Amino acid sequence: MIRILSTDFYKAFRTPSFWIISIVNIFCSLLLSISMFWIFNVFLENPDLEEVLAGSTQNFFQLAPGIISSCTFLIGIFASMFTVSDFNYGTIKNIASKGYRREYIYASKFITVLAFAIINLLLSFITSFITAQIMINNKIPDFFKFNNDFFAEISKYSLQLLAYVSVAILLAMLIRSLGASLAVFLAFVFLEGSATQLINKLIHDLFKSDFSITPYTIGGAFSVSAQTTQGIIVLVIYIVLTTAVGIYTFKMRDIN
Amino acid sequence: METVLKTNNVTKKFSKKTAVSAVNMNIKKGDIYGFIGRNGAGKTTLIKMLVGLSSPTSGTIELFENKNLNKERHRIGTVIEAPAFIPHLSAKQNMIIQWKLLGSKDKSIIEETLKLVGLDNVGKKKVKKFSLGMKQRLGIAMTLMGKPDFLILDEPTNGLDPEGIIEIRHMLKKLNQEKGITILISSHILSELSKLATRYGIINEGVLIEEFTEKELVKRCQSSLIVKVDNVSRACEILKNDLATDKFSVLNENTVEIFDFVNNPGDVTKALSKNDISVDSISTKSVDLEDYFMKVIGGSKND
Repeated sequence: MIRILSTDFYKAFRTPSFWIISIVNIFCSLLLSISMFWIFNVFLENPDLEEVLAGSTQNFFQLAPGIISSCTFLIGIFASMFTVSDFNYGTIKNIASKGYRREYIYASKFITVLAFAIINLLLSFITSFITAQIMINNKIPDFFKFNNDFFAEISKYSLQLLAYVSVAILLAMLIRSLGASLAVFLAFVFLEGSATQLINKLIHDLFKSDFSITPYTIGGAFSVSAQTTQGIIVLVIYIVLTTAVGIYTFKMRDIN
Repeated sequence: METVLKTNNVTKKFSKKTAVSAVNMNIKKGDIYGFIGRNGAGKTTLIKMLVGLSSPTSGTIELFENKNLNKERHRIGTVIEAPAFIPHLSAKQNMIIQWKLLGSKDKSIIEETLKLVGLDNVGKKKVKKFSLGMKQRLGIAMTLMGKPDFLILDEPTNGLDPEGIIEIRHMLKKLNQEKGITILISSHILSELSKLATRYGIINEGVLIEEFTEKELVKRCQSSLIVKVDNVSRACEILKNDLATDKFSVLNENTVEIFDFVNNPGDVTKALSKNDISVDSISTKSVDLEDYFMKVIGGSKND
């Protein structure tokens, strides 16, 4: 397992997509931070609008999880590209023919993507922190005072990210083609919310029920703030289920 | 002698089609096993099962006399269909990946293996810029990284020019003779295979029809003299009495095939002429692996 992991790490750091996606992530975080803190500056400079600002979140550690979450789809793209690359190049044959268990091969991909995700979360955080330091600095009192909710929010987001990554890896392992797996994953990420709303509307119209499937989706797992435990359970089920299906199908299918 | 590979009734079915049917293959240590078959005969399917890329529908496989295949597969080096590597990396970087995968400790083996296949001076050139021959050599180098006891090569000379084919042949022969590596090689170029293999297996429509050694092949492919005469029965008597041979057969009313005197056809013409048998023509018929393969699978060379 360690050998496959070491190989995957070596490959990941030498994949152009690793660097390109990381740079795009920094750029996205930078743009998002600049636009957010620019609005803060506009409000601060305009005394008439200062009241509006007073009612909004004024702490970096409360805002940061929102900025960081923008890199979800980028990490998913990397997960698809990295997982499919071994099938594209045929190098999966080199690994599988050495007698390594398929579970280990799958787990190694998962862990490598996870490491990439951690690196990118840190990059995103550092980018937004530096931007905030430059643009806000001491203009808002206690703006950089550590907020205890930060870790709780980051943990929730990380769990959601993990669920999306496990979906991306499952799709890549099932489809084994970059274009198709990427298209399906991006459709899943970007249309999940709309599809959920549509289903909720159908349930409401057909059964006259207020039941909502939103808390049972990845994106909406923490939509009800009082049901954090339920959200955690939903996401864990997603992660376990997609990984189990992925490993099972990878074990059962031939490698061509 | 140690058995490197043994398959017992290995079968692979894809929905309704049986790609490999009850194959019993035996490869002994030190063999260069030429695996012959038409396109779609089941060669690659069987090889994929041997290396663990596909699982048999039924039957068992033993590697190095062990049924725990995952334990023994690290002793195998494989190139299946085409050598696989990451194109945007250099030869050395691809070798490092293989080195890490095999958990080798000695890093000098990377340079040694690249030198062995003549790729030690390619520097940082990306593999995607390599010629086909260089790619094949890199593929073989990657299989040699873990110092394998058994090489499985599926069409290793595919797309190579004659020079490249000769180069690969010499390299494989050297590996077999100097390092004692057992080799299973499938190839369409039968003339090339016949210069290399010490044992053969012929597969057709998923069935392993025959397994034979190089010596047996020589016997089966022995050359003969095709002699056209005006009196076949008298010619047969002369062959028996005057030339003391019974290694001949009558092909038709005026043609005899003689499996003796292939290198001395003059002896035959002299004996027949001396006994007033008119020899209309005499020619040498040589049979090679290709002819033998076509004969076994029931086709003609021009099919």
